[in-house]
Amino acid sequence: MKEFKYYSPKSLNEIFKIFEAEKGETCLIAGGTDVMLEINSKKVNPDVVINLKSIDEINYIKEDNEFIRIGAGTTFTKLSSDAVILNSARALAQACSKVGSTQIRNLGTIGGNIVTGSACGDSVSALVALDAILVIQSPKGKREITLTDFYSPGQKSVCDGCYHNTPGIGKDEVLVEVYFKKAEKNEFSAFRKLGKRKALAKSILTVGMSIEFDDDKKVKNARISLGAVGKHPYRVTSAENIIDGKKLSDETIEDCLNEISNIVIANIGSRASCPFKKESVKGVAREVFASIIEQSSL
Amino acid sequence: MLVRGKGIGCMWYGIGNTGLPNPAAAFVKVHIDGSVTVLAGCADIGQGSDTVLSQIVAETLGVTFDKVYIKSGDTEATPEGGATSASRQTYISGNACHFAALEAKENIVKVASEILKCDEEEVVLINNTAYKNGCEDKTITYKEIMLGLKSRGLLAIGKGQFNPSASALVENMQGIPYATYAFATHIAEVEVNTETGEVTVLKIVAAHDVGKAINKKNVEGQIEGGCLMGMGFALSEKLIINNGHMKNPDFNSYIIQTAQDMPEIYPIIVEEESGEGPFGAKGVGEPALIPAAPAIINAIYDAIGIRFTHLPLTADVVLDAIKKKEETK
Repeated sequence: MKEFKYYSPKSLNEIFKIFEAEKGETCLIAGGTDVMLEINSKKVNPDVVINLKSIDEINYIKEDNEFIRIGAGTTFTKLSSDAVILNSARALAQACSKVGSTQIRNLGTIGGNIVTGSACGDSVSALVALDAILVIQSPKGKREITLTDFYSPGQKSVCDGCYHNTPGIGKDEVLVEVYFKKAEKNEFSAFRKLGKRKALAKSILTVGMSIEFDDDKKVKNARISLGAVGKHPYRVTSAENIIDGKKLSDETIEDCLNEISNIVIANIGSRASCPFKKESVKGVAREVFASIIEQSSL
Repeated sequence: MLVRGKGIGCMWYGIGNTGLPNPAAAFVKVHIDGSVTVLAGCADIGQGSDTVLSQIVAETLGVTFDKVYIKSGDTEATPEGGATSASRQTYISGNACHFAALEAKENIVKVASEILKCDEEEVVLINNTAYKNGCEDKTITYKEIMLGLKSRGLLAIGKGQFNPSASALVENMQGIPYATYAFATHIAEVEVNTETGEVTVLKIVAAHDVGKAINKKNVEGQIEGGCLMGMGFALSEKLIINNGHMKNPDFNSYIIQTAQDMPEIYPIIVEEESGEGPFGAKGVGEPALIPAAPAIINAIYDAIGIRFTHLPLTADVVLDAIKKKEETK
């Protein structure tokens, strides 16, 4: 590990001043659950490390009219037990409760999970299903980008799997907030992770889902996301279209599951894990459907 | 779909090294205040042998557990104890400590009988006191006995050693490889997710013949730990070797079970006393692991009708077998 300068600013303004003053390779650290490993294994070699932990203005969960706004520095522990998230974005609470271990959840932040850009970021998979939008700030001001565009495949060459330089974030920018629409009255979400054990497990695959029903119990709006079956979690619109406007009968769900499986094959068909993932994704997604149907019938 | 199944795994296991001499020794000294020092070569690597050996000495001498100080596994001070392996230490070092305590007890009983004015056979030593059998209300303290030893110019010291009565195996593998055996049966209940291949162990009932449980909580702890290891063996622990190098030498990629994976475990202690062990005790360390994996794979067979002959049964292996079975239908 090479020596680096360390800053622990108290506000975003301070960070931008540090950005201006320091010309070397900078690395932002929040929970540190990924960055520490990467520094130790020399995958990143920063000249400057800036800790975001003391910046209170990016640590919050708040309701804002039809939106839920989450500060990028909010920990998984907080998200998995927050009443607003549990009521209006259950998929996110479930995903955050499954990240790593208690210790990792106490440290790790939702912003870190997004910017690290791991293929198997649990909270990211849930956020994709919630159609989340990111707020990114720089000295020039704020800009917004959808989570899906943030991991835009068009910029693949910049994004190297799990590491930094994630597309969509510049050197002088900080991810400050993620927000999404609160669940409507007839809208329900759920998340399920397949791992090698019940705790401290990297995801083999994840399924996030958010479905809004109309008064006839037909699907009005569906968003389904997959994680750990590609470079980043992504929506599966062709599978969503299958259930759109229909009641969730066993047959409709079966058709949707088969399409999800086909999408997995299309994305990771050449990998050794594909034969397992293309099958197990159906079982995992079926359970997520079951959870949503159960919530909707209460 | 979630399907459940139950399975049984049985085992018997020889205690101590196979067909080889594997002795252990110990020294015991009782001090003037009635406290005791034990020197034993046995290395306590977390299994609780210091506790168990101290209990054996305390029980043998009739003193309470808190009076016993043990120094163990220190080659500068303690005698040969042999390896903490082969589930052998309670049995072998336990006997060495027991015999050392018996020898130290000789002068104590002799002096106690003189003070109590009775035969040596009539002396009862218990709870740091002594009395003549049948006269429980007329006790003398250990301290009084030790002062009695002092005035007579005697010490209470003992050495003990034990080597199990096993013999080397002859050419056609005949002989007596072990002096005593442990027996166990586990019954596991599992739930298999036929769509994802995940196996969840719901319950394990684990019955172990340990000869005599010197420390019941300790034995239960060993059994529960063994079940966890057995689950890892059955379901997740995969050693990947390439050109002599382990490819997954960390707990991120070598998947052991965690507290959250633990099922309900019901340990049942069976005490079929061994003729040779201290108070009839045998070993439980390795036996606790052995029947768990067979019970689990039998339970999986009961659930989905598939016989597996390779471990571990990770979700991908199980799902692949389920799909192949469906295809051949």
